[in-house]
Amino acid sequence: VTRLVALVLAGAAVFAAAPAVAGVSSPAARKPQKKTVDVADNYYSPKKLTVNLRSRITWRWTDEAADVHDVKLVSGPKGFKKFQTEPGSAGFTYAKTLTKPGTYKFICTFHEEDNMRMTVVVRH
Amino acid sequence: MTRIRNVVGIAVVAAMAVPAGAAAGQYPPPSNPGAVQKAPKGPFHTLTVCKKGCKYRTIQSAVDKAKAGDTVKVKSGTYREGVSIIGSKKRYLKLVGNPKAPSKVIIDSARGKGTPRQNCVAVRDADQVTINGFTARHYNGNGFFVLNANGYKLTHLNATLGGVYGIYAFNSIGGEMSDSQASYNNDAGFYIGQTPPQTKPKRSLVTRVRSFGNVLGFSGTNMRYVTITKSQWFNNGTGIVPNALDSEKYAPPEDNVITDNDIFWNNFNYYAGAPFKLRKSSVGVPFPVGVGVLLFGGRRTEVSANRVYGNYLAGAGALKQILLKQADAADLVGNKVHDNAFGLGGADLNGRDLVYDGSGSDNCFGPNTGVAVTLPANGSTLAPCPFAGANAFEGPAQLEALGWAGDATHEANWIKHPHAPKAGFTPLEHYPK
Repeated sequence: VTRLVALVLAGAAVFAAAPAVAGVSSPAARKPQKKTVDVADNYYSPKKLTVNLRSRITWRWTDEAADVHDVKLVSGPKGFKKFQTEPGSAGFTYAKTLTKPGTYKFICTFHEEDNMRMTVVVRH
Repeated sequence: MTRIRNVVGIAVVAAMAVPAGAAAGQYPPPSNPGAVQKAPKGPFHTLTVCKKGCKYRTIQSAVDKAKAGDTVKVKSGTYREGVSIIGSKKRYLKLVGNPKAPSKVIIDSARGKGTPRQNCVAVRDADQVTINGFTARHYNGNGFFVLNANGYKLTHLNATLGGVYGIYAFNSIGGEMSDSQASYNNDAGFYIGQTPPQTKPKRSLVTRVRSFGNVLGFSGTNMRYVTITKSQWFNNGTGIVPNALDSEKYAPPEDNVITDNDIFWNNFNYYAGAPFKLRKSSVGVPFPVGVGVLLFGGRRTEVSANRVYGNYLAGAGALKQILLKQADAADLVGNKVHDNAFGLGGADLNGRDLVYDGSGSDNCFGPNTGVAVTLPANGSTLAPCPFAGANAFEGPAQLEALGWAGDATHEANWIKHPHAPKAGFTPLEHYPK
């Protein structure tokens, strides 16, 4: 049994070390990222973001956030708990790790009418 | 949101304007306060907070334990925190400091390092919450803030030295702000914004408050059903500004009453120095300095029986919100400015008493007393009340008034007169360095 286990482990190691098949990313190529989104009057920048699974997004209220803004998740992948930041202005930051693949849509509660929205796509 | 877009760019903005609904519809609307949350049955408890010897040493820890309808009693002291009251489980909560001496119970949100605290007390999605008897200071965002509430009471409060607004309610109905003071806020001392239209309106009341040293004394972006009365608005950049903006829902402001207030000396040129760090919005320039009351768009606002004096640019003005994308909400309609006393009987004159571009319809001015100087100078736009029909538009008057916002000195268009002495008050034009 010991020998069998050793063979299986060896096989797994070889598989893990093999280069990715063209067109299919390996898990190693999809490391979580750290991204920053600026929050200002009245926009998020960037407005759209594509990141890897478990990436951490930091929203940073810039010096141009003279007014109050928040970040509210209005739709997201099933199983990801919706959240809404405290209303903030220049100098505030808030970070969240996105742990489910899919599309996350955010609005500013105060300036949705001004099209202050953004989307984050989290890929597998 | 109180800033208007850059007047210099009016033509460009107008040319690029698209219907407000063009980009909308992808997301659900913001939570409408709707029907009031069910009153809790109790039994109710009082949770006491103090610095030493109490079960709770922070306000937030007591709020977290409190159930709907409970009272959180906070004893004298300075509490360095920001308090959040969120959700229907906190409905009807009473947060009580010292109503007779709010200065004894201080919530100080200053923080030396790390991300700054945003709000001294923030209420969201919790109806009928009362906050009574506190001083808020050094908040990066707002002093006392209510969001998405059906009913609120903010009373015996003092909000000073803030990053944005002092005492603020957004997307809420049926509230009261009373017996309170707001000073030295980087935007408005008091602010009620984005009131949802209602078929059976629940009015909100702002009464017996004082607002001074702010960029704006009171801002009302897309505000409805609010009565502002028996209050003092002085030494702000601009006194009271109901305004229509695209940045929030439900433009324009409607059905508001501004009556029996003292509106004077709103000539605080905060650009020349202020006790707060002046933030520059990326989307525009502020309202002009030196105005008592300005209706920037709006319908059926009544400005009556106020005492308006010593404002160097204008005592009361009404201008079309020419930048509003929602064109059908840009016009002034059915506003009445009457029975106000301008210029303190000649002892403390406004630069101009009445300013009106003549846009819209059914707007009327007068009778008022003490009106000596107007824009336009011949008063051709100022139809006496009652008046029905299209008003007499004067393009040059509109251009002149809008041009005030583009004045780099913020004082070039002032017409200064000496102030009459007023016991207990000192005029503020430039903050002492």
